[in-house]
Amino acid sequence: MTKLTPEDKQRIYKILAEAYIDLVGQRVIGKVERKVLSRKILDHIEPAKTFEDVVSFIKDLGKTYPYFTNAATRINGELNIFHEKKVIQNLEQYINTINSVSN
Amino acid sequence: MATNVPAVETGRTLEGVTAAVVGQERNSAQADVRRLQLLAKEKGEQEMFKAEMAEKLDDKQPNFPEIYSVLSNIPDATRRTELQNKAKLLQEIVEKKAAGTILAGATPDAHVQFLGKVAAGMPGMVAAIAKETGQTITSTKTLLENGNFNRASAVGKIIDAHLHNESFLTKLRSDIGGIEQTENQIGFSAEIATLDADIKARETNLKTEREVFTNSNGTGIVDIVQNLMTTNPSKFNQVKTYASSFKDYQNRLKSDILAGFGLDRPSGLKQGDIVQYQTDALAAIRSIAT
Repeated sequence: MTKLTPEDKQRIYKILAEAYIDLVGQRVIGKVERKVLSRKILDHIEPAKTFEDVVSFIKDLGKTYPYFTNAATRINGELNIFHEKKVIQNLEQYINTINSVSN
Repeated sequence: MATNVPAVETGRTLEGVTAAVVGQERNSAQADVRRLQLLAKEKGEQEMFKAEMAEKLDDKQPNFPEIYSVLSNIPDATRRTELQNKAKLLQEIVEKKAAGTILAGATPDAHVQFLGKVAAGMPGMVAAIAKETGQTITSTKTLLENGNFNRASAVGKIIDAHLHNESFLTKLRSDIGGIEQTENQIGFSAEIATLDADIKARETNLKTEREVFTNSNGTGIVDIVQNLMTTNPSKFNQVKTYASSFKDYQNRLKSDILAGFGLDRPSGLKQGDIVQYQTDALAAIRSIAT
């Protein structure tokens, strides 16, 4: 379980917003759906505590809004890269801590 | 006298109008994209979503994916399918899709019959149709409610005309928007159904537990003891003595044997000791009982 920091959430909002704006540009979502989707995104990302919470929400979103599946795949991919970077960053930090202790 | 417009001219005009509408929509979407990008850049993505959520809509439009999502939570499978099929028919009607495009097997008759059922709840419509067809209001209402007519019938033709009436469809669309408000009610029903299932499970558990003590076969502990008390009091007293002996034995085990070896504190007991004490206790009980 990877805990989300406020900066992580900001990055996740950015990824979601890019996919969302794409859908608006392609005119695949109407005004009501935009309102509902935005509410859903805020309702789920705001209380999300871990990276897994976000991934599970994105997966569910694709079930209700089939046209969101492509966007969800893209978001998942980007989130995974982001997650991997974060894990590597944490690992590096940990190794550095060990090095500084052993030195 | 009206002048007939040549078909080619009409075609050209329509093409022009269509292109203009499509162009307008495209421009509007692009303007929205620019507005959202600017908002995200200046105030952040979270604020952008908040602004989108707070957007005031003049006309409540149906949101079918959301409606299907809400309907999928209805616990009763029959009711769920019934409402899902109704929603699919409605979607075909308001989005002017051919019958059967969304609800497999739906016919054009199903569309007029569905709208007929809606019309049955509108007294003005019922009166107008009754006047037009020369039938009584009561029989017209029953006919509409039962959907007992087809597109080719007199009633069917009147209803069919409404399928192509934009202002009627606009009204219908805004009414469908209200369906989303049932989300909370359906949520509550689902919650109640879960609680019901929980109560039933608890009842079953209690019944099973109760049967250990008493049951209709007379094999529960209380049944056996009661039976013994009435049919064989001496045996019952013997059992009581055995139980008392067993209790004494346990006390002796604790105070004499365990204390004797300095093992009467739980912290001093080992797993092997307990197994050994159990074996010894069982042997002792068997010797008393035989």
